[in-house]
Amino acid sequence: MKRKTFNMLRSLLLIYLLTLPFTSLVVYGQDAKLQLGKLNDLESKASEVVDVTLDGKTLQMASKFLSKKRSADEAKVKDLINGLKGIYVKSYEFDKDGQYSLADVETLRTQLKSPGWQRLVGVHSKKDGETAEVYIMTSGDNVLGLAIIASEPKELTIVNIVGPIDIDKLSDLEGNFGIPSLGFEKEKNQERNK
Amino acid sequence: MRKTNKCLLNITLVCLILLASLVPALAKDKEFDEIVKFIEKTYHAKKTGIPMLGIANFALKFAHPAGVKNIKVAVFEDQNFTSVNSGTNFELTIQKIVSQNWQPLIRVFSRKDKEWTYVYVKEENKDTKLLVVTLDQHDATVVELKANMDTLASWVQNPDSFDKMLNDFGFSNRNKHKNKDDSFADSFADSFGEFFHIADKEANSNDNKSLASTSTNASANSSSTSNTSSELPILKTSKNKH
Repeated sequence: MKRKTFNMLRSLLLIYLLTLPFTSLVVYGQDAKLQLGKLNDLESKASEVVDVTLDGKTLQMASKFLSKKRSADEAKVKDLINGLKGIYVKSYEFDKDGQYSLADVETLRTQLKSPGWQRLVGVHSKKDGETAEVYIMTSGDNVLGLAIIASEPKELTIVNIVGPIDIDKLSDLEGNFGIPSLGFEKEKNQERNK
Repeated sequence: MRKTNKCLLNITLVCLILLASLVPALAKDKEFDEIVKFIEKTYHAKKTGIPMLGIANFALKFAHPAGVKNIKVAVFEDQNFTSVNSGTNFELTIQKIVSQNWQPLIRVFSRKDKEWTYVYVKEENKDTKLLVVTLDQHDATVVELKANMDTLASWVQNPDSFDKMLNDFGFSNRNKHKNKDDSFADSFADSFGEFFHIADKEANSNDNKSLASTSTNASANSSSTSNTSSELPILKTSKNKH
């Protein structure tokens, strides 16, 4: 009886050890989605709130309504969102300075320090108290996710895009799905003019 | 006499079948009714009548044009929604009624301008339900739509099929649209996009706050704004700066 139990436990341990690398891969792949729930406390303080939650299923549903025939812009967006697993946007506007604390943003930055994430751009304006950071999660040459934190004394905007993204095509998403203008198109044009 | 009895029996049977088909619909989803009741009670608001909506909904029980299976609309026009704490009550109540069964898709609210917009989605077998609630200082709208999104999407993609169906029913004037872009289905597609268009229409003409300061070339002390005006109607939620 004891031997049977021992054998069973050994088999279970073996299965666990064999599947461990795969389970950690799955967890690693999910990391591009940030936990934004902690920001919900800011809703009661904010004078204006935009909260967009588009998971993979909803995005695919929205994609069905975009027509490649109707316009070139729609075709571009349709292509871009096809592989995406989620778009999450939270934007808060406050009446007064200091209605949100750095600690609120720090919870996000802590998540973005985990393996896979790297800061692509970081701009801080001491004069205006504005900060903008762009993070990407990569695996080899592939971009698995993107996060943007833009903060001003009276405004905080978080954008989290989960799934494979072509950074060159990212400008096509600007102004859609609650994503604010990121200035990518402007940048592209400047480069072309050079 | 026997004929009359038979006729009455048939009518009763039809009525029973119709009632049976209505009962499950009434038993499900109380959210729409609860929100409408809340608006009526809290703000003493009166619904604006929408002619033919009842008939249209009855027809939708038997036929599902463009995959639409049910639509409930409650419109409150020219009312006073500016009572004290009305916004807070509204937010809390909507979250209480809806959050358990529906997935929030878009929530946009401005306490400053006293405007609230909520879009929730829910899967029901092969169908999708959308619940849209908007409230501003004078108007409120509650819409619940149940549709097979695949059918609806394919109809939006192929507007000619619906035009053909209308033509078969004798609405031949739909074919008068020479330009494909002007077809009825296209205008529906635009309306569907508008359905998701949360921000004011003015938003397109106003400056949107830009995150262009994230530009890699930007200097440390720079920040900039840029105009955004995308043509895409779907889920456009640009923020309006007043």
